[in-house]
Amino acid sequence: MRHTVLRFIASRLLQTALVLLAMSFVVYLLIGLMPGDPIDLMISGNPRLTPDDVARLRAVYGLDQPLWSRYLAWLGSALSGDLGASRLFARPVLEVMGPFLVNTCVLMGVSFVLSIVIAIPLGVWAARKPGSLADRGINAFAFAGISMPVFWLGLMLIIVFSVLLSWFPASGTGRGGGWFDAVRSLMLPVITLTIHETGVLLRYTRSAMIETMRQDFIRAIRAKGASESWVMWRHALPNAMLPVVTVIALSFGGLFSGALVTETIFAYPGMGRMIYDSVMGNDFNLALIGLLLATVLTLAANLAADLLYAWLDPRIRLGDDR
Amino acid sequence: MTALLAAEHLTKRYRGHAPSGTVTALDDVSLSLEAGETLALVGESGSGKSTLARALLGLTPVDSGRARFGDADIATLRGDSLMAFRRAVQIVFQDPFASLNPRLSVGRSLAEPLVIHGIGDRGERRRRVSEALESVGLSAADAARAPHAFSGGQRQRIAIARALILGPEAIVLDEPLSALDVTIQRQILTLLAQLKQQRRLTYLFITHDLGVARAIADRIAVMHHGRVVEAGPTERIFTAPEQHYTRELIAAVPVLGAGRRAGVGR
Amino acid sequence: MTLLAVENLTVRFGTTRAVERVSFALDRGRTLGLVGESGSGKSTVAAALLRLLPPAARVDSGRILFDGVDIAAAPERELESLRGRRIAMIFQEPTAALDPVMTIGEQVAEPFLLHGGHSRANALAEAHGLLERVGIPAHRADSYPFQLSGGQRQRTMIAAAIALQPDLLIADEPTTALDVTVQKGILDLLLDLQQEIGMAMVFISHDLAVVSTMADDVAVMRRGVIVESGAVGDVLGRPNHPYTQALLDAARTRVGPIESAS
Repeated sequence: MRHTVLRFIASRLLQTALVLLAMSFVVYLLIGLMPGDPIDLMISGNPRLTPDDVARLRAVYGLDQPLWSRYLAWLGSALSGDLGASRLFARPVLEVMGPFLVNTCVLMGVSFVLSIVIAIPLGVWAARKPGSLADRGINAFAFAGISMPVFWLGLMLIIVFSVLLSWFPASGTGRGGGWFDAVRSLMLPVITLTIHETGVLLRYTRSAMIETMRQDFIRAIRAKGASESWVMWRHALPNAMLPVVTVIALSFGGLFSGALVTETIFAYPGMGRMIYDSVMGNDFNLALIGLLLATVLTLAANLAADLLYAWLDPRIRLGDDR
Repeated sequence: MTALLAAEHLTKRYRGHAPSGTVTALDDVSLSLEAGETLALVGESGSGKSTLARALLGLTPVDSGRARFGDADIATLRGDSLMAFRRAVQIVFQDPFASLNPRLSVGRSLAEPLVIHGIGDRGERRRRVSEALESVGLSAADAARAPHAFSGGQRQRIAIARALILGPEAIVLDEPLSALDVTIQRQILTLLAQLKQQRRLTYLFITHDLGVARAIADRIAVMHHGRVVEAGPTERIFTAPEQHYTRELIAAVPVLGAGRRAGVGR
Repeated sequence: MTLLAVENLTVRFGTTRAVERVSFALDRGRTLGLVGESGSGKSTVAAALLRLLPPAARVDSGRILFDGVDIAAAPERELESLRGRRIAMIFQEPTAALDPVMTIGEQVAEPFLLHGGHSRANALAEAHGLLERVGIPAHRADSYPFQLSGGQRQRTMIAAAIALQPDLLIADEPTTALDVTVQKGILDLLLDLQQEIGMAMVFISHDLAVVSTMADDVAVMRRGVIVESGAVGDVLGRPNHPYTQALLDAARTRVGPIESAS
C-alpha cells in the first residue's frame, strides 16, 4: 500500500510541475501584454535619460525581443536557478520575497488556525439541534461572515478600532517594537480574514454534521448508552470531517486571495501587497514569481487535502472500491 | 429441440477487490431454458445469478462462451433480429420503486415499449395499455396516474404489465418479490402463475428464496460462486439434493412449525 | 418475573398512529417475537423501548416499564445508563449500524468505556474476547467494517450488544439483509448467547418462519395494532385472526407448488 501512496504523490508532483509551467506562460503573457512599458516608467522617473540610454536599457532588460523569446529566456534561467532580479528593489527576487512570504504565512496561518478553532465547535453545536435558537444565531453569524466583502470589513474595522478607539494600528507589522506591537498590528488583518473564513467553514461543518447525524449508525451508538456529546464528538465529527477537510483545503486558495485584499487595506507587507506593487510597477520578475508562488501554495493545499482525506478515511487508505 | 435461451460455457470476470485482484462472476456456466417451463435460478448474494440473467439477455458482455436465443448467438444479433429478440424476452426487476420513471404517467411508461418498437398508432397503444393493466389486476383508469400513487405490490404489477405488453415468449424475473411484503408476494406469485398459463410464457425466475422457488418453479438451478452447483426438477432438488451446498442451503431455511431452535448447544 | 411490561403504548407521527394501544409483557429469559409487514409499527415499538424514537414521533399514551423503571419518564442520564448495559439493541443493516471510520475492536470495546469506567486497554482486551465468542478471530479487531462480510458485521454488532450481559436484547430484523446460510449462523449464535447469558429477547421480523424458530411467544402486528398474541405454538397452530392466517398462508405457500387460480 505504501508504494501506492508514493506513486500518488509522485504523479501529483508531476502534475503540479506541469501546471506551474502552463501558469508561468500565462502569467508571463498577461504581464507582458499589460499597458505600461517599464522603460517609460524609468524615463518619467529620470528625464535625463538619452535615447541611447533607452536603447541600451531595453537591450539589457531584453525588452527589444519578442514576447515568446523573452519567455523562453526567462524559463531557461529560472530552471537553472536564476529567478532574476526585482527591478523595484534592485535585488534578486528570492531575497526580496523572503520577508513578504513570512508575513503572509503568519497572517494566513493565524487566521486559518483561528477560523478552524472557532468554526468547528460552533458548527458542531449548531448541528446539535437544527432550528434551535442557538443554531439560528450561529447561522446568522456565519452568513454575516460570508456576505461581508473582505475589503469592506477591513475598512470598517479600521474605522472602529483604529480611528475611533485607537486600540489597534491600521497598518504595518509593528516589527520594530517587539512582540506586543507585532500582535497588535496583526489583530485587525487577522480578524478581517478570520471572520470571513469562519463563516464559510461554519456552514460546511454544520451541514456535514447534520448529514452525518442522520445516518443509521448514530442511532446504534445511542443504543449503546452514549450521551449526545459522546455521539457528536467521537463518532459524528470524525465522519463529518471527511468532506469538511476537503473544503478546508480548497478554501486555502480563497484564503490567499482574501489575504491579498486584506494586506492592501492594512498596508501589511505581505505577498499580496508585493504582488500588487510589482504588477503596478511593471516589475516583471517579481510579479511573475509572486503569482507562481501563489499557484504553488494552492496546489500544495490541494495535495495536502487529498493526502489528509486518504489518511482520515480508512476506506480510502486501505483500498476499498465499494 | 433447441432451448429457448441457453448459456454455453459462459465465463465473466471483473477486476475487483478480491485478494487475487479479479472476481469471477460466472465460471464456465452452462444452462438451458426450455420453452414453457419456469426455471428458478437460486443462489445467495455474489453467486452470479443476476450476472447470468444479464448475460442471457445480452445486457452484459462475457469473456468467453456464448449466450444463445434459439439457434442464434445473442452477441451477433443486430437491427431487426435484435429488436425481435428484445420483444421476445422481457425482464422484470427487483425494486418496484426504481424501475418506473417517476416523471412519466403509468400509461406512458407502459406505452414506451410499443413506441420503441413502432407498434400501433395512438389508439391501438392506448387499447393495449388498458388491456395490459387489466390483465395484472389493475384498472384502465390507472394509466393516467403517476407511479408514486401506487404501493410496492401495485408497482410490481405495473412492471409485469410492461413486460407483457410486447407479447413476449419469455420473461426474466430478477428477484421480483424481494422488496415486497409476504402477503403481497403470494398475490404476485399467483398472478404470475395465472399469466404463464394464459399466455403460454416461459419464466427465468431469479431468487435467493428457496421457498419462492419451490412454489413456482418446474426446475431449479442452484448457483454458488459463479457456478451452477446443481440443477434438476424442483421436487427432486428438495427431496433428494445431491450436492453439499444444496443441502446446506436447504437446511438453512427456517421451517414454520418446526419449533424453537436448539441453538448450537454447549 | 416480568422484566418488561408495555401498557397501551400509542405513538404518533403527525396525524398517523404508527403504534396504537400496544400491550405485552416479557419475562426474564424468554423471547417474544414481534411479527408484521411494512407499516406494522414493529420497529417503532422497538425504538420506543429504548426511547430512541425519531424527533418527529410523539408518544400519546401508554407506559413502558423495564424492571420497574418507567422508560418514558426516566431522566436521560438514567436511560443512557440502561442502554447498552441492561437493554441492548441490534439492527437490520449491519453496514449502516457500525461507524465506518472506527475499527471493530474499538466499537466492541465501546460499551466498556461508556459504562463502568474501564481503561482503554482493559476494554480492548475484553473486546477481543467478545469477538472470539461470536466467531470473529481476535486478530481482526483492527479491521474496519467495510473489510468484513455482512455476517461478520452483524456478529460484531452482537458482540457489542452482549458485552455487558444485558437483561434484554432487542433484535430488529437482524437477519433480514443476510443470506439464508449466514442467517442460520446468526440465529444459532443468538440463541446460544441467550442461553449462556440468560437474557430476554424481543425478536422482530417479517418472517414468520424465522420467528417461529426463535420465539416462545409471538405478537402479530398490523398497521400499528397487535391483532393476535400468545404462545408461538398456539398462535401459529390455531390462529384466531384472519391476518395471522393470511401470514401463515403466505409463509406456507412458499413451501408447496402454487396452482393458478383459474
